[in-house]
Amino acid sequence: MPFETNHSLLNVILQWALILCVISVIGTFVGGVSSLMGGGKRGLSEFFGVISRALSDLILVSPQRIFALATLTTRESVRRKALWIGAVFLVLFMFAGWFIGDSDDTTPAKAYISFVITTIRWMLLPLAVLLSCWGLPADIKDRSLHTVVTKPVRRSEVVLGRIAGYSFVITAILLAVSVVGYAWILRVVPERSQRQLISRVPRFGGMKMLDQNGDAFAGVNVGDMYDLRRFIAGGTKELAMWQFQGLKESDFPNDQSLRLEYAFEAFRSYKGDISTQIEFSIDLVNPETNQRVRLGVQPVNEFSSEIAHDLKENQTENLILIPRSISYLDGETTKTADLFKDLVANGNLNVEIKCLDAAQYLGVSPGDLFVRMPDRSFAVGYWKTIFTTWLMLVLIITIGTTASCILKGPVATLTTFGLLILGVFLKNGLIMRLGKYYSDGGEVVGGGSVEALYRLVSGLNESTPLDESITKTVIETLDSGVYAMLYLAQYVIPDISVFDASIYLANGFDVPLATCVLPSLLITLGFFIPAYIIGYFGLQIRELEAK
Amino acid sequence: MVLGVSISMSAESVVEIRNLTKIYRDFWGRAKVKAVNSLSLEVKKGEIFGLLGPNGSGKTTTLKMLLGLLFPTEGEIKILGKQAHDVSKNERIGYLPEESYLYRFLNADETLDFYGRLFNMSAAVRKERKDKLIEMVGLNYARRRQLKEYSKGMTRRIGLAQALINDPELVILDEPTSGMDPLGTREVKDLILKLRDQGKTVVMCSHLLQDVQDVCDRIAILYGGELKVLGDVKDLLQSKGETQLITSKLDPAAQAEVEAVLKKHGASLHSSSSPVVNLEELFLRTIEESKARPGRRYAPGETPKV
Repeated sequence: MPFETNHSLLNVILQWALILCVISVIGTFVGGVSSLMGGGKRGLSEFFGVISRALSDLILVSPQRIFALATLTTRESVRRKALWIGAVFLVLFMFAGWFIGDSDDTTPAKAYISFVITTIRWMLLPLAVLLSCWGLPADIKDRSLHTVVTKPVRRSEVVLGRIAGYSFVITAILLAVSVVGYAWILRVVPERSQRQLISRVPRFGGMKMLDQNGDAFAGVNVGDMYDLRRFIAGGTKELAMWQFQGLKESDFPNDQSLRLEYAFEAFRSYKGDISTQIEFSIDLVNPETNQRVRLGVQPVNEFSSEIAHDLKENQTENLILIPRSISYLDGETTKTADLFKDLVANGNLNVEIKCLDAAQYLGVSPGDLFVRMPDRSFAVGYWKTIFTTWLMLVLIITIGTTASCILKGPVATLTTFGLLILGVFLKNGLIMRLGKYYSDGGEVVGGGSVEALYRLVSGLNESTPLDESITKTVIETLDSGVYAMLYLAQYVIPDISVFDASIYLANGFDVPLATCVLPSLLITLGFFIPAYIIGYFGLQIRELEAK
Repeated sequence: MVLGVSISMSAESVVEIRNLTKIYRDFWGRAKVKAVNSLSLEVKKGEIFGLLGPNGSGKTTTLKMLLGLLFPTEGEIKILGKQAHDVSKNERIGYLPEESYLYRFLNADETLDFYGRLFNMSAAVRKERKDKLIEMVGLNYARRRQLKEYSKGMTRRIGLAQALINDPELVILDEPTSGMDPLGTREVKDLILKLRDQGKTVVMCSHLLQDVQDVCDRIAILYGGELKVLGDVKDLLQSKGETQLITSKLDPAAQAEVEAVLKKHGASLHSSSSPVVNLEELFLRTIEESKARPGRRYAPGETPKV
């Protein structure tokens, strides 16, 4: 559940433009050479004619014609009973309450929210694929498209009209089921849990860990296999420090308290008094003046849950409220500090955490402590989630329509589903790991796919190095080709997992712009433009009447 | 469709085809069928030009290459002064395909409205055009019915209407009377003649020879993808060595005198009979008479007036 990214928007756009340019140059070069070889000078001349026409066709499109084609596509989809999917939703919502929700569950909202969003995503996704992959091939098969293209209609307008039409249908269905889903969530979430329907806005800070000498260190490894958290030893000077930036007084109007939310983990090196929780201290430190205010002592929730306890029954657990005016003990004297005047310097504030129980450990990770900015309403997070879902569906429609410009319905469907499956399940798995490994210059134990096959056949285990021979050179060369393809696949296959904002919403967080909404928007746009161009060429160079 | 090579068109030419060849290939690129072979012809402004030929002679392939639905293997096409792949030429062209490939879930009104939008027509113009065309093709009674409920003849009529939605300069008709009853056929033929009178150019292909003979000014006959005959219909059909006289009915004596005169001038009478009307004419007259005299029925022994 990432909230922050170190990618700059400009760099992302530049990288996309670079990839597009490289692919265009390679495509033009290959096309030009093929035309020259196939048709000589005349072939080359024709090729450049096609390219120059394409430029005007792609840009000089008529909105009225696109609208007409989109309207037609919408009618066609309605005729194909696409709207029936809404009825399926209604049935699901009518009976889902029987199966979801447990009166003992402390976070029932999460189950209901996940159900609604997952249902919407996975029911509209096949609809988007089927509509977009079958419409154009059916139109070509029935030859109704032939009558259309004998009018002054550019093939680019056909592609855009189709995408717009399907997007409109899907948008209408999505809006309808989303409204029903929203009302359903509000209705079925028990009243005692209604406060879980919220969009928390976290502000994270950079974290570093300091050892007893005040030097940065990586923390203690207690053998936790997940390696998410590193630990600091209790009763020592070891500490974890978060450096928050950009805190403005204006973000907390009407003297609102600054809220710190945490989710630390305890590691006991001995059992001790199990009924007493391990404790930690919190110090607020001005990064410029080093003025320090100890807020007090807090217990660690040793069985951490994914959702803040204030959203459950007890409103104060895991949440530290810091008033504007803080009273604290300086030796024997009680002093008062103003949060924004004395502790926050130019928007920066350091928070130091120490474990107080000797020989016990406190596990921390960068995301374990954040400033909770003023909450937003559940509706904000919900509709942002619907928006990213909509972007995903538009992306699928774009890919499906493009595929259908080149391929027949079943093949286009298979291609689109294949890309989706890769995008959902493999992007963050095998392909990404292998591609990243290759790009980082790493080596895979046992080699790549060709080497693995060789090892299987020759009965070599993966740790035995291959003999230095021509065979090894050939295998490594082939594997580097496979790696390169996997590396490229990272950029060709859309990362569908980015569009899933339900994890934020279900856990009571607002959907972040930087790591979810904006990447979703950029991925959709990033794929839309090349897909539009490919779809245009797919229709343009295709003889619609070919026997 | 060759770039960099320009065809010089005479001012009157609406369509000019030079050495047009179309070879259909299989998946592996091997030549399968040579549908059109080195075809060259020209269609002049304001004429009705007929492409004739048996099935598989290359008529429809030629029309589809004109429209950019198929790409020529070789040769050049210029249509209304533009290349076949130039989309802007379609602004001035109306096309009726062999089968009316329309959206069956739309009704006549919606169909014409849709095609009107593709020409960027305003709502007012679209309304005016569709009212006029629906009236013209005689579908006013069925304008709200979905096309899937239409008979073949009705579908051809609405297909013809969509071809004329933009008031085109060049009308390309592929088998325009196919599937129509004789009454509809006559109406279509009258319409084609009317279009010519309005200064439009019509290119039609058909294997219904009588239809072509009735309306076309010039024809081309294709066989095996090759041009076999090209010229004015009148010139091609005229028997140069004979003269035909049609008179009111002659008694045998008068006929003998005529033969004597012919003999005197060195000619001979090849045949003499009462003129015969064609079946279409008989059918249409019967229908007209039936409308004028409802209730009249066939009586045994009665000979219809022709």
